[in-house]
Amino acid sequence: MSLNRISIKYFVRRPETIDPGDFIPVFQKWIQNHTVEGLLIDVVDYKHVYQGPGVILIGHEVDYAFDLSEGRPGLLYTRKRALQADLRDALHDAFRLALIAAEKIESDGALHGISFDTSEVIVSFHDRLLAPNKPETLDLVREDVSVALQAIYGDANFEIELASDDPRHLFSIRVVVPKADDLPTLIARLDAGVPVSS
Amino acid sequence: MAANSWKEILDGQMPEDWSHEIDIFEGQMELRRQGKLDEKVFAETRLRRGVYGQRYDNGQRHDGIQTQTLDFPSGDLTKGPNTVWDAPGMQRIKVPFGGLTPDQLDVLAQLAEEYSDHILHVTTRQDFQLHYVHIEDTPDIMRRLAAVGITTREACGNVVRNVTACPLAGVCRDETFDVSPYAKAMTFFLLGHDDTQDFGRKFKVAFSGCGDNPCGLVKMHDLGLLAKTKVIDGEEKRGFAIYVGGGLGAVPHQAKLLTDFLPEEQILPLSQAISRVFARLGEKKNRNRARIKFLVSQLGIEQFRRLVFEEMESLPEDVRWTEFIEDAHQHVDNPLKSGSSLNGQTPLEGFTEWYATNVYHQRQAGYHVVTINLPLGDISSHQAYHLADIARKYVGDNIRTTVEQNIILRWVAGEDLVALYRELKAIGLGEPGAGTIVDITTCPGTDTCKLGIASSRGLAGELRERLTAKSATLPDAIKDLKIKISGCFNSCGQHHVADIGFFGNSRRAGNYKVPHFQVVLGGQWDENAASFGLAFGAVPAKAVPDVLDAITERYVAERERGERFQAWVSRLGKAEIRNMLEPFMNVPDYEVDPSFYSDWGDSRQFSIGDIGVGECAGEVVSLFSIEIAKAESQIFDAMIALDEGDYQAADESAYKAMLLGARALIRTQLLDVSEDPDDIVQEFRTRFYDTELFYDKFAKGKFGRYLFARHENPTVNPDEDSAHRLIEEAQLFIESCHDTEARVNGVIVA
Repeated sequence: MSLNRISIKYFVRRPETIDPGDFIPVFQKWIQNHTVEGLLIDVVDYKHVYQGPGVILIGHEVDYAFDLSEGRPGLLYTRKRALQADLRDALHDAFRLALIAAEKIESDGALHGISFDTSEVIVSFHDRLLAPNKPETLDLVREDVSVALQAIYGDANFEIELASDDPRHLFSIRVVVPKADDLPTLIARLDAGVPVSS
Repeated sequence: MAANSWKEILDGQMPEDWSHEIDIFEGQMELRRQGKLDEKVFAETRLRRGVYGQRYDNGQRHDGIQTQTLDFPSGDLTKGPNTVWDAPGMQRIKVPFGGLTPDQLDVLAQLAEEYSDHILHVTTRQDFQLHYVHIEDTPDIMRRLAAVGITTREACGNVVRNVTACPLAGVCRDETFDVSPYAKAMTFFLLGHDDTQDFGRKFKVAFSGCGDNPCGLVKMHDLGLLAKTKVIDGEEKRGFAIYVGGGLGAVPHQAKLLTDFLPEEQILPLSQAISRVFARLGEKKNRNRARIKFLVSQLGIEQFRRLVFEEMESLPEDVRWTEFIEDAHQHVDNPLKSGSSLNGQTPLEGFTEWYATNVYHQRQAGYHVVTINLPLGDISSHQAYHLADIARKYVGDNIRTTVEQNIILRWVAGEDLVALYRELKAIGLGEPGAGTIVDITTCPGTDTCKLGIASSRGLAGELRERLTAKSATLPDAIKDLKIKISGCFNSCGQHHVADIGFFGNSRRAGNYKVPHFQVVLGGQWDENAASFGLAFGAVPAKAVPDVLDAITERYVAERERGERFQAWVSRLGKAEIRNMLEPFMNVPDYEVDPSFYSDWGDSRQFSIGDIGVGECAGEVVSLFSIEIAKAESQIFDAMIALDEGDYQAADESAYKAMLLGARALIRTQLLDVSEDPDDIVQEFRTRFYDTELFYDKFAKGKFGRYLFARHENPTVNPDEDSAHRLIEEAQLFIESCHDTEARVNGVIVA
């Protein structure tokens, strides 16, 4: 299955302590310093929208956002254009870049000790043509997602479920990993591994 | 298994002609990719499909320190002049008279999630816009919209734009009759019509149901239709007063009355005749003078009227002119529920405040219009899904967008208001204050617009937050004031028709550029935008909240009983208003307060482009500052004269202001220029106009030509209209002098 548009969302801990506006200078700095991979274009401020997309760093291939949707703030990494044709590789790549971005955010002093909860992640597929939001789609991608998750979380147990049963919504999967490692460990595991389809 | 393409899956669900047009557009995209279609031709082609450019699409962006090249993978491939193929763009989506269904809202939300940034933006023309869209996604966006009855055709480009109408049409207590079916008929009559394909510029049409209320704004449109009835041969006939040649833009024009009553069966042939005259005689080469307002002004309304009605006589008969009329007379909305009363329900916290500002009693007993107050015109995809469900539950298909960038639900039964409020509040759409001072209108400004100079959305967001925080204590006198903000002089935020308007510009302070906003006061939203405000001076962007406080506090303190804001501005007088603003005009040194050197909502140091370093800048700036201040003082004299009804003096002062501005600029190169107007104009032309130093990136030499036009053709017997217009032109000329000086002499930080 070839899906180009994938997003990964990790939620922040203690969201009430975070001012979304603090992400504006951080993302502007990322553009100045080419902090993350890909062509970065602009920063958009939607923090005035209730539980909206927050503050977005718009890129050509990828967007990064401090996303406020559903009242659960977090880092939303959105792959808009394909780097990998294979879904497993695409997922592996998306997780890798999302985690790297999360780590950079955690280590940015301007964000006052922000930290991410790695025990829950939402994976969404922004393509209703190829991935309508229904259980059959989950059946189609379950194995690829599981392989990608094993590459990140190792032997930890995880649960996968549809995030929403509304057929209008994006096909999204909620992954819960009760005993998840912290960010550096997950990144190290990914770096040590090889692309999952190899 | 899912289908392979949206084209395949939606086959048969789209109107055949719309589907075919989208296929053609997709083919043109391929031709452009192969270099077989000229970039200018393709640019107009895509604009006519609503596919618009966005800021930084020239492949460059200033990051606050330096200009970065945006190395898009498409390389040299362009989708228009200086417009890189891969650069994100905007998709404008036409919503005729703002009419929308829940199913359409669902699809819009889905498109925002898949192709854009999860936001649907409502515009001041009742359109939707999706931003950061890749051009290669646009055919599928169009197909998915077409399948629910929405076309993006002619949403941009030199064509008839979205036909707007009062969102209360059909339920308004004051209207003459429901204009919605007429707006719909005109939309689809003019859409793609042969006679609307050869305009020099865009053409905007609006319908209004009554003369007193502002909702239709017909007097600021290229073509405005105001519902009227007339007894003819003992029978009441429907028709319209027709206005032409209005418009905002850099220099606003009040529309002229073409005829005070046109029978309903003639509105489509009249629109066709106007289109033909505009296409035939309108300016084509100079886009800055190509709107129909310039043609009407040039010909005079009498001559224009004669040409249009002669043209109408010559048109071949078309059944579409009248076939909609029977339906129009029979047209009624279908409420989902029976009308009922609110009485007896336990109010929720915040309900009373929301009810006071966001609920309108329809003329149909037991029904209400509820306004959903969207911050900066934005609604998220999640909110849109919920809102679609709420609409299905309470009002069915009776949703509309408004020109104040809100959404309304019509035909809400009284007994549902409390439950509806609860559900809206749960998704963040239950904010009170619709149509009040917190409900600020703004164009996209520097967020996404290529022409934006300052951050209108950033400022609007800041003002909204501050005003909302103190909304409970705001004096009643200012609660209903309108604030409208544009990112540049082009007035997409409609600052000219606000009580308090702002438009973005920039000023030089030392070796830096500083974002500023001109303060525009006294515009009139009522009576269909009956008069325009004037600019009183530029203040730093970061000073605007304090300026707003100063203006509103003084209004509250000094207004006479029942005195409206516009009347107070007029009574206070321009000199006193200027005095009030002057303390806010100074910019602190960078070292003292660097925040003034960044725009609202943007941490980057402010920039309007890549300007080099000039070593002699300090001295030259000092001289220029002194000289240009004379021009600004002179323009102020012009405004005073206009206030006093001395139009001759206003005209002459505005002209002198331009001469002083030109002279200030010339003296940065030639100190010994005389004060003779001929010398000044000649030197200005040679040194700044012919060399294109005075050229604005987008307006080109337009502002320079304001000086030449007045110098070569002095106004004979200036009237209020012409004097007002010359003052607006002089202000733009002086703004351009500031820009030119900064550009030519350079600043350290671009």
